[in-house]
Amino acid sequence: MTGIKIRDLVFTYPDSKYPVLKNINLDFEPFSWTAIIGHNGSGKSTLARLIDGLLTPTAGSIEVDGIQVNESSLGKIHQQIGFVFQNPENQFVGATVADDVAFGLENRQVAQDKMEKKIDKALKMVGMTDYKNTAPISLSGGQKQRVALAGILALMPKIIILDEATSMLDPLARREILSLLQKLKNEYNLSIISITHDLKEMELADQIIVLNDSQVAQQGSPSEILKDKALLLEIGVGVPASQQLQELLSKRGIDIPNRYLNLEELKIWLKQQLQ
Amino acid sequence: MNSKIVFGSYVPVRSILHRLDPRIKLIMCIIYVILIFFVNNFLTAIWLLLALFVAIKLSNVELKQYWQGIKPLFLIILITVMFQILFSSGGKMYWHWGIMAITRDGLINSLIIFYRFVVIITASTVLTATTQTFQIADALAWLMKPLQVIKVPVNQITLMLSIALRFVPTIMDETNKIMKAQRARGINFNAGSLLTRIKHLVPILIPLFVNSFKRAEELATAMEARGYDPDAPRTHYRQLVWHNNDAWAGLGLLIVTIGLVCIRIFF
Amino acid sequence: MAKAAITVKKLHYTYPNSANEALNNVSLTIKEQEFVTVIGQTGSGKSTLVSLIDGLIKPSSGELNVAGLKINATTKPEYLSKIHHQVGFVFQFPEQQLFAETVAQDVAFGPRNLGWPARKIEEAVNKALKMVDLPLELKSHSPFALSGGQMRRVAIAGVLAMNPRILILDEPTAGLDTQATNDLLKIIKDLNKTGTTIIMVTHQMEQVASCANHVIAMSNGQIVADTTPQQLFSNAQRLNKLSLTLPVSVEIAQFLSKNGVTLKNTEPLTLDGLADEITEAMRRKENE
Repeated sequence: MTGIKIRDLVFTYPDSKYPVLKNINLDFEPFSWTAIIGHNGSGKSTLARLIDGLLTPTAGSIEVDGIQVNESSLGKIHQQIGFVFQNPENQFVGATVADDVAFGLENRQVAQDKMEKKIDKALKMVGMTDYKNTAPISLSGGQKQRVALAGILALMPKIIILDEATSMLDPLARREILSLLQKLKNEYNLSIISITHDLKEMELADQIIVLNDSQVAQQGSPSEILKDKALLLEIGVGVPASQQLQELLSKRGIDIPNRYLNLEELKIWLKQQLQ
Repeated sequence: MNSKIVFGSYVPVRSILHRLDPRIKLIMCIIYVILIFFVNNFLTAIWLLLALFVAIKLSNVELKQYWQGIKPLFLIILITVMFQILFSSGGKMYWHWGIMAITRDGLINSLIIFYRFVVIITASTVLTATTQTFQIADALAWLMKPLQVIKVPVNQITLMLSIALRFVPTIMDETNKIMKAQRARGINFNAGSLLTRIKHLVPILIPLFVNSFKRAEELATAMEARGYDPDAPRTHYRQLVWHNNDAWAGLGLLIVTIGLVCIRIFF
Repeated sequence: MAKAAITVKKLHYTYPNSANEALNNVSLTIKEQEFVTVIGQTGSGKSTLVSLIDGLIKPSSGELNVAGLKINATTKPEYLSKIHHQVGFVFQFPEQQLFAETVAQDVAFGPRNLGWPARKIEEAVNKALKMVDLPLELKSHSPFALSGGQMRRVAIAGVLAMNPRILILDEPTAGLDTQATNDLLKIIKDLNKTGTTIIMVTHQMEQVASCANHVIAMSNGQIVADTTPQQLFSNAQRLNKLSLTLPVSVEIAQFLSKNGVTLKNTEPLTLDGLADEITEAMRRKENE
């Protein structure tokens, strides 16, 4: 079981009067994909950092896979959780792709003779084998994020946290990274927590958590959350195109199901109606 | 994108020198630089120059490319040499004006300084052209290892160094980008008095610092998330292994040294 | 017929010490008050093209005419910098180029470089801040204390303050959430309506569909399409080859027409247009 349990979590930054997060109670199911959405400054990134022990809660508790996150368990927590950050440039430590993937292994004191194999395997998982000895400057943003993923996968984590990891990529690279993540999740039984503004990324999730005003505003399946137009507009996410079209059609007097249809579902519904 | 050869950049070709262990290259470069200071006459100067030419030949990097690397520094060398000519005294005087004079000793001194400058810069360019920066960092780490005995945090220092080197191209790129953006806002970097030119640095340096601090902060978090603990022991992926060729290179340097000593004794 | 704002003839550009041409024989015309989007993969030559139009680099060969200024390989740098009086350039993540102590000083930087009198600068700053919808109270604030979206708008105001006739924007909405993206696009569209020629580099086909009346697609340093959005999206095969996606409205329309549904327009550029098409098709079916 690699679930995450958060109880009565409060977090206030040292130089601030108001908490960024308060009364957070959440459960993340093992092997699930959870999307966390909300305004900039709603505490999404803070929550992710707290889960990984990169920040210490002001009050409350976090449990990852049955382990209480605190100063003494940090090593174990970092081992369970891999973290991919927003800017691909700023998480690339090594002088070459192989060196960068090795960084986590070196920290984990993996014996040198075992590293090569692990690095090769991780690079293969993300499709970057050909770039093993390439310097970061000649890689694209999408390729750098793949290397970041490889660096994490080499350590065999159970949970991957993506902190707007695709937001700086072009649409093609974004699509590729997301389908790679889907594949990896299924093959290696990973849990994924993704902080995102991207509607397609939200649709991939099993559960969406909406943060607003430092609190959990809403929690549910994508079809429940993505149908809530008022909520989506309030947190600046925007309404999915399929949802907009559904509304435009119903305004024109067309009898369209009231439940949320994603793009593919909507296409099929329209096809059935019109053929 | 910017593949201009600058002083200290790596030239990715194949050669015997490229394959050598970075440690032996670094040591040889240091010893060679020390040897330069033992040059006392024409013959010794030629002898060491010859050794440098062999190294350049073995590096498989064209002479032209070395020249391109050194060219930007040439003005500094020339100014230093001019000062040396005009302001040092001794020996026969050829010309003088106020405190400036051209003397025989001044000319010889400046010739020696010119020689040292050019040879030392070229020798270190041979090192950097044939050795990637991270390899040099590895070699430095190895050289500094004895310092661990006196509690110098060698591992932290070398990791810091290699990360700094890794970010050099990133920051160069960023500088370019910021300069371009400010140029688009009408700033002209090539005009104005010295003071205005210095003022023009502000719109470049401030964003550069702000962005670099942000970068450093993110990098630190990312490193922590990947389990980095500065006080914990780490293993090392990149291991340096001595090969036969390294021994041959060392022997070559030994011959150069002995040759130098012989020339100094017998001529 | 509107006048040409920019004409480019047989333009070639190769970066120093690079073996490949970044631009290979590019010719195009952009008319005044057009809203042009430039699309293409990373490294296709988009950035090089817009840098040339702003005189930030000089062509290796070929000729440009930007707002009446003629530029070729032999143009002097002083002449090139005249372009900045006419053309504004908003770089990607422009907030990363802010530097001044206050918002007002940062926005005034461009006009000051152009040598305007103090009164005119003050007016330009106020007008620019208003255009990007920032309150004038922020003028005395440090730009670094603002939120990400506000910082971006300050940076854009810094370019608008120079009162450009032509505005180039390199992925102006990158990294913004949907709300901020829509707000910014509205500002850009309004600018276009009041007479500014817009050239916008983007990866978002939704933006091409909803904003542009002229689209230039690039690949490997060449222009592969120079047309209207409508025309561009009608050729799905070509888009596929360029690894570009379709806007949702076009994607649905083409999916339906592939499945035997007759639509009048298979490239509706907006969801509204698509809804009209679908409604009509439904009505037709009911009447059958």
